[in-house]
Amino acid sequence: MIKSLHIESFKSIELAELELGQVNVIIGANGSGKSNLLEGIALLAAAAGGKVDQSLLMWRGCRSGSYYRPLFQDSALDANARLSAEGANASYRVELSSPKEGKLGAWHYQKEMLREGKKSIVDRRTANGSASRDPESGLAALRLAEIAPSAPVSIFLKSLAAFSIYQPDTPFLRGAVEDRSIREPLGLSGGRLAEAVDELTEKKETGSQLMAEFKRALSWFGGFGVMKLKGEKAPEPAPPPMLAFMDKYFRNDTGHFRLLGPGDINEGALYLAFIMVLCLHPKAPAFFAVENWDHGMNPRLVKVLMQNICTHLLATQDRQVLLTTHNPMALDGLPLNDERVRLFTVDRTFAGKTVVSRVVIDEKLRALAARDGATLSRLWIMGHLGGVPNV
Amino acid sequence: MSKSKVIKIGLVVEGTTDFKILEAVIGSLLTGRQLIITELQPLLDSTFNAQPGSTGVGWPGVYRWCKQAVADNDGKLSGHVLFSRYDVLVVQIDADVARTTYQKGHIQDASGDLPCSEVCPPCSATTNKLRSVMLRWMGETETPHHVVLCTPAQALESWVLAALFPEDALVQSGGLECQRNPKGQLRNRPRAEKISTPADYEAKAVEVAVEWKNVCSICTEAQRFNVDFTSAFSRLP
Repeated sequence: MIKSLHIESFKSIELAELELGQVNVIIGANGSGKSNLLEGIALLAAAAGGKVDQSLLMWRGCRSGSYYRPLFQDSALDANARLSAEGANASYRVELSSPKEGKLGAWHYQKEMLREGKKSIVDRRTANGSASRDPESGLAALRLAEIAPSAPVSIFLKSLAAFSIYQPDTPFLRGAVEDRSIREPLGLSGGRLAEAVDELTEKKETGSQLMAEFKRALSWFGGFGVMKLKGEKAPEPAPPPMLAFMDKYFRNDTGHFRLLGPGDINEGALYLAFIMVLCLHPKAPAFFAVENWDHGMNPRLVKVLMQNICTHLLATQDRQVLLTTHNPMALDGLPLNDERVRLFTVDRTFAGKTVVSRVVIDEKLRALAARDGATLSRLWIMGHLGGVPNV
Repeated sequence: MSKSKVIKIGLVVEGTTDFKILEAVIGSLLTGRQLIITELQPLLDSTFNAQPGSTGVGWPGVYRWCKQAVADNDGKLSGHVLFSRYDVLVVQIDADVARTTYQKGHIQDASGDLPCSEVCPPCSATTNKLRSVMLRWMGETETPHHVVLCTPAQALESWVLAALFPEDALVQSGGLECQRNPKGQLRNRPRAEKISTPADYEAKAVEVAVEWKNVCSICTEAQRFNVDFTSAFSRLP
């Protein structure tokens, strides 16, 4: 688990420090810097993976733009991004200089430190003679080859390096558009959804959990399946499998359930399937972010889904997530009394700098909720939590 | 207080135009600070203009916001949960509210403390009374430490007039704060100087902030806001 993050001098972020839980929800106005925060983490992850360039950042879900340095009038134009993450037994810190604006070259490692407890594994500083090393290659990722996979520092660095930003999008979920960020179990935009759902149903436990989620969330749900062409008549190569749902009210000409293919399925069901794959699939990354997960969902469904995301992830204890949302009802599904679940607001200061603050549930909030039934969604809408635009 | 501390300020104001002007003024008062300014009121609903979470526009909106906050907090504003986030809360209504009635605002309030206008000048005779009315809305007898009352006389538009047109005859006369319709004065300026739409006010907000010292020298209520805000800010831990 990543316990804390430090992002400094990256895009609109002058300094952001977060004490993370296992499930972390981020709210804020459009353009407040939520995506910049996630991209800062992706930058740190790429550095932990051994190389940082535009294509590798995009592979992790960063946008394709080329501005990375803070562009404020009082910012140093040559400011390096300073990033770090701490786990229970290990920490990683890096200072990177970005390519010049508009250039696509690799970022340069200026400093890099990896520690296990108090023991230094990597300590690279330009000042102590390491300038002769290839500045485009990370040392920590190389050193990992010499360390047992079960060592805490190895688990920590691999978890960090696995970080990607998922952003599901309906055409990809329907399989209508090829997802170029494809990986196991899911592409960042939602490609490979049918295969991933199929893999979940192969195991009784995860198959039952997925079925239960669909039943709970979709009043029309009559069943689901993954359609695959098999046998002699199947073309070579076989077309990708397709996710199909049954609407319990619909029948075909012979009186049987009618299957609704990916082009007909309600998009809320697809987003539900997407997020459940990330919660339940054994090959889902240990550390990831999801934007736009609640697209196309009724607010009440978002609330229940948020509850269930927390339930599943907290039960697994092996993965950590950051979720952004614009839906107030998502907050009502967060069990914030559990320290493993945390809510952060992202705002921009009067000077335009991104500021991240944790919403702590204190006695006043508890008293208000007990007395008047106040909900977090209402408090957010009223502006009491921050993370709202002045419109 | 550490200069790196992010100061969070909530604004409860009559309208979006008021917010834009006060946002710019507060930003100039705290230059160099990390500052987040959030508009807490008005929150409008396109159908009803007032529903849970939405209290309506104008002074009735400020009234309803205060009453709702007080109802959420055992009958008073101080100690409200919103101070868990906000360091300072600014509550603004124009002094001309002193001439109206609750009935005109479609509010049932039997207190009888509106209207409360007095002879002007001095405008403070009226604004002092109006501030007591605001405190009653907040369930308070004295202004809480982290709350700043803002009562432009007779409306916030007089500050805009003082900032942008210091040579104006009304401004020069010394009677600006007793002029009942400064908004009309701005609307009736020659075409090139006319200020009437929210976009006009937003475009001029920075100029008002730049001329803030002059505004304070002309408008006593601006000076009072300046002192009260600075004082509340200096009390922050």
